[in-house]
Amino acid sequence: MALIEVDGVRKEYGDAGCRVVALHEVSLEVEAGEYAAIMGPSGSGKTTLLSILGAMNPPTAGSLRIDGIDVYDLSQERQADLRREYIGFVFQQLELVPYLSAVENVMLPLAILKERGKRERALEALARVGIDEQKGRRLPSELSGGEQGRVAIARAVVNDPPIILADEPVGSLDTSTGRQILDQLRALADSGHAVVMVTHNPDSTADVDRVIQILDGSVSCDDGPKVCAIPS
Amino acid sequence: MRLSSIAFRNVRRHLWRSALVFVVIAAAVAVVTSLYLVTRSAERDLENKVDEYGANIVVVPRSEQLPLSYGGVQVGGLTYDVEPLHMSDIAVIRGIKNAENINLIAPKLVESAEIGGQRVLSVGVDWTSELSLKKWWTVVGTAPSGATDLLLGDRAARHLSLGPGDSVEVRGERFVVSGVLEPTGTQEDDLLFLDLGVAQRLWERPGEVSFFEVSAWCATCPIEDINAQISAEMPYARVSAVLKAAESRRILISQFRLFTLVLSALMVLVGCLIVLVSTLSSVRARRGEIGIFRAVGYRRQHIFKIILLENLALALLGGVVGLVVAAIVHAPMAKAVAQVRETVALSPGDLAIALAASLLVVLASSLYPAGRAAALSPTLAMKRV
Repeated sequence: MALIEVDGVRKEYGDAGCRVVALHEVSLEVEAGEYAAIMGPSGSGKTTLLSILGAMNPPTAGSLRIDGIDVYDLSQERQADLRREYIGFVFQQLELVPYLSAVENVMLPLAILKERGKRERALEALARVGIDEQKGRRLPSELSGGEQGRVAIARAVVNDPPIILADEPVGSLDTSTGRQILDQLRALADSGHAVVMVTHNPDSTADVDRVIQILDGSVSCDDGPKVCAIPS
Repeated sequence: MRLSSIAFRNVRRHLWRSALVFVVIAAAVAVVTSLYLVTRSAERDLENKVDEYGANIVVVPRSEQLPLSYGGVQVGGLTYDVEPLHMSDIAVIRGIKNAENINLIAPKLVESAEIGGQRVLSVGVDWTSELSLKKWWTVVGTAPSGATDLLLGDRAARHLSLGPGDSVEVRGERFVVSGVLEPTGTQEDDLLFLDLGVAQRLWERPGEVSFFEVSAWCATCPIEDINAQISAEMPYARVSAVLKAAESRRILISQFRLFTLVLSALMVLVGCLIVLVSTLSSVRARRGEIGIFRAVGYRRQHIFKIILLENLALALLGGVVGLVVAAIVHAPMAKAVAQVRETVALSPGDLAIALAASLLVVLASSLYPAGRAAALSPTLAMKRV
């Protein structure tokens, strides 16, 4: 059983008067330890697919199973619990909360838990991405782009979720910082996490195990990066 | 880090919005509490000063009267079935349900006296209660206090050609005119006042009373209630409420209370609207951030809590500052607006109620925006969905 199973997912937006089909009958599976990139031009449906994988956006038809759990059969509150337990997100432009320090940003998924040692866990996650306690006390605006990216990754993994979803994680970063983020994602996959990254940049897919190309809401190619590569 | 940490950080981060909500809450609490205290002070002041306004209830014997006329010419009236009042009725009046609202009871015995061949209406009074009740009296000479003292009204003194220090005989006993009242413009100018016990003895009516003047005040019940209670206890007496200065002031205070209620309601309404609108606008500005919270696993109730905690923190802070302001300004305000001499202080109960009310009002006006925030989709964290 794959960690992520997408079966016949269809997503439509709008009403009867103006209906847009974002995804047509998409089916795919992602295993633990696999590093996959979803690629496609703007408007192809790749971010919609990622939001469905992230238990945030119920499909119009089809199903998503994570670790065998039919996600969209759950209540919204249980879906929130599942996101916290199973999924770590790395957002486009990293989306750190600007008024929280780096370590507090990492503690964000833990803040609602009634347990001790939350700060220690956050510091540990930061240490794994090379951010020390002193830098952890700084606000995101006081960190470099690369450091912010590493904080975003630390936030995604602090709960030790089996799945990491990344939405254009290097889209707004310079090449060097982007490289650091991609290396971190690769390392996460190597350590057993299923990593799914949305990108439109072929250069970002150099290290991935698999490229899923989306075109007009359908999977047009699902193979290794060399087979499904799009010239940059 | 807990949800409250996120809420408090946000309060600090959005300083202008927080300052607006804080100022509105503080102002509303200060105004509403100050107005409440001013009204309470005015009522308390009225209770304390009610004796200065004179009696507002008169208790006289119940009697049946038959007007007599002959050939269309009025030839006087006949009063019958008169049951006199007694000093023991004081205890009856003091025994009513609202006894604590009885301020003073002034018994009187009215008789006709002859002094030097001139007839004058004499009134036996209890000096202490009478002088307390008639705060507007100005005595030329010495205020009477003893059994041999007499007090004369202005016209009575001139009619009898007597002044302070003069000695006079009434029904065979010698008295000294201790003082003469300055003109009051009422029937009191024609009267001779003497000690009630002495009057009862001289006219051989031991323990009898012609009527009682009662000074009563009740902030929470109309004077008619006290009137009715005395009537019920003394069916042999006729009890009449007298609309005097105290009643006029009571009406004025009631109107002021109504005004303060309307103004307070308006302040609370405006405060609610400002909290509602500013919170809605804050939620709108933080849609992306709330999306992130939802995406990392926050339930709707967690978002709800964060928004409520932010506003409740401001309500608590604003409430405390508003109460401090009210505690400072209400006294000069009460003196300026209601001319009260002593003001009511904020009690711990008032503090608790004011704080609880401000928290509840802010909570109520935050529920809708918090609900809107909680309903936001986690996909807002992903800008392009």
